Amino acid sequence: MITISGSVPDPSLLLKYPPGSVKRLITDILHSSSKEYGYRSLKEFEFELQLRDSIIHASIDLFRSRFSFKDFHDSICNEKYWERTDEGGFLSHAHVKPYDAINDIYINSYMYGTECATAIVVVYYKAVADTFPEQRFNELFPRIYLMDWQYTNNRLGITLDRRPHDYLPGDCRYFKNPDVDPLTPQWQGENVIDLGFGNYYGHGIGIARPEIIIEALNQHRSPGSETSAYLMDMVTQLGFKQLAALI
Amino acid sequence: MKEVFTMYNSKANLSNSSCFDYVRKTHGTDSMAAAFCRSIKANSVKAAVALNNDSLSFTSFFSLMDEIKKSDIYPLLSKCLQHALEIWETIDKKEDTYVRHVLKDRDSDTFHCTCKWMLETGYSDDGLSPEFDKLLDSAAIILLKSFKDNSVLPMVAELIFARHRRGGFIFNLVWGFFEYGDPQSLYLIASKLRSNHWDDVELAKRLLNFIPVVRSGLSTDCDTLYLQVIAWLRSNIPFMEYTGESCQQSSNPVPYVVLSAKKRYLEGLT
Repeated sequence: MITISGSVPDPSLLLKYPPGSVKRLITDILHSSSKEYGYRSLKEFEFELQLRDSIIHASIDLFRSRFSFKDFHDSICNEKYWERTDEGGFLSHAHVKPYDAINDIYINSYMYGTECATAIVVVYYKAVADTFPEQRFNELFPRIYLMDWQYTNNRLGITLDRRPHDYLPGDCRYFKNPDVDPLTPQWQGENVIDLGFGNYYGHGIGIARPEIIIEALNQHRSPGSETSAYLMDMVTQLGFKQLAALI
Repeated sequence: MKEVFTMYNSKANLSNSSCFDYVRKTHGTDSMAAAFCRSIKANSVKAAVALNNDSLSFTSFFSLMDEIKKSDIYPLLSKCLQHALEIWETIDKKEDTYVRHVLKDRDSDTFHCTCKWMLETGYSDDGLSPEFDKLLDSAAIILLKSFKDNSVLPMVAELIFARHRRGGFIFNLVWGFFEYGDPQSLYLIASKLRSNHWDDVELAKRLLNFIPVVRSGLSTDCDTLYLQVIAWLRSNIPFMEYTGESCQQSSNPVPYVVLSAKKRYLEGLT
């Protein structure tokens, strides 16, 4: 159920977005849920829809780019904007605008390569950069360090819910590969963005349905293992309300 | 040339190290590689015997791997050294080699010994190169995850904290450490709460952040925090279960959970 300023919104809100669109899908899921999703204002609600939509576009654009999959030992980045640290992460230079640094990953994607969790964080920053005015983005995120889930800026408000009530497009999910080949620890799992309509984006695998992602992970199991990879219940999300208050 | 090699051999014997290690430590890696190339040309069998010396360190072997691959000495190498090369080939070329088939066979003593040799004789040179560190990580992960060898847990813990101090990549090692799956290993991390290195204390807090007293952040005194963590572990370890969560999933993974009273009852733990 959706409530805005404590009240159930006019039904016309639910029909505002065209059928088949991501925003309509999100609205439908929230509306039909037994959990109450409360928003302080219509603006806050629409902000979340827009940011989730931006996450999906950022995911698809990254998939279509030449951003490559590499483990942390072999990660690469454009040194004009980023310093590659000893642990394989990317730290934006103090003298560059973070907005430009994030966008460079998409513009000069062939110069970048890392693993799946960092790719999700790239998607999140890109989505926020596409939603916020450039100057505001630079103020909020003066230095960006991309190294999977470590060192993410607190202003992103990233949280992990191990038992979510619903799953929404723009959420980050996780496929676990419990019996991964010990020689390829980077395939211990796959972070993915829920694109809606049964599709997920995972860096290194692509855009696919769950069974394809599971099959891809199962190729990297210990020899002889019959323990399949699986999609976990947990969800990682941006702090949408927190970000709405910062725009 | 031959006399020089013999001289190195004599001096190495006196210091109880292989001649290649001796050359590397006294004259550098390039000199060692040159000595190896000369020895191969002079007598490949003797060169292989020198390599197969029990006291050869993985560090020296790693530094010679390119030259060894160029030579035809592989069949003369010990099983241990052949396995080490195969591990590298598997990681470097991502091929489905003999290594993967050996990993299926948990009784492969030689392979187990190879990984242990790599870690024990190489870990003090951690940071030599990204490729070297990757091989150490692989050896550690195979020992912990495939062979369930808990004797290397203290060494892996030391490696994690030492590498973290110099800003290196630790996540695969941390993952391998936790994948061993025994909550008793947490005592090794807890001991770092009393380290003289502030980086060690911070990392220990991060890794143990799933423990309530650490997560609360209320204890500012490290000795007090250490005692509180030890007390919590003593009370809860019998009822803890490994979840498999790692840094790949979350900035604050919860690798262990304490079983609920109901689950303890059902599993006969009460």
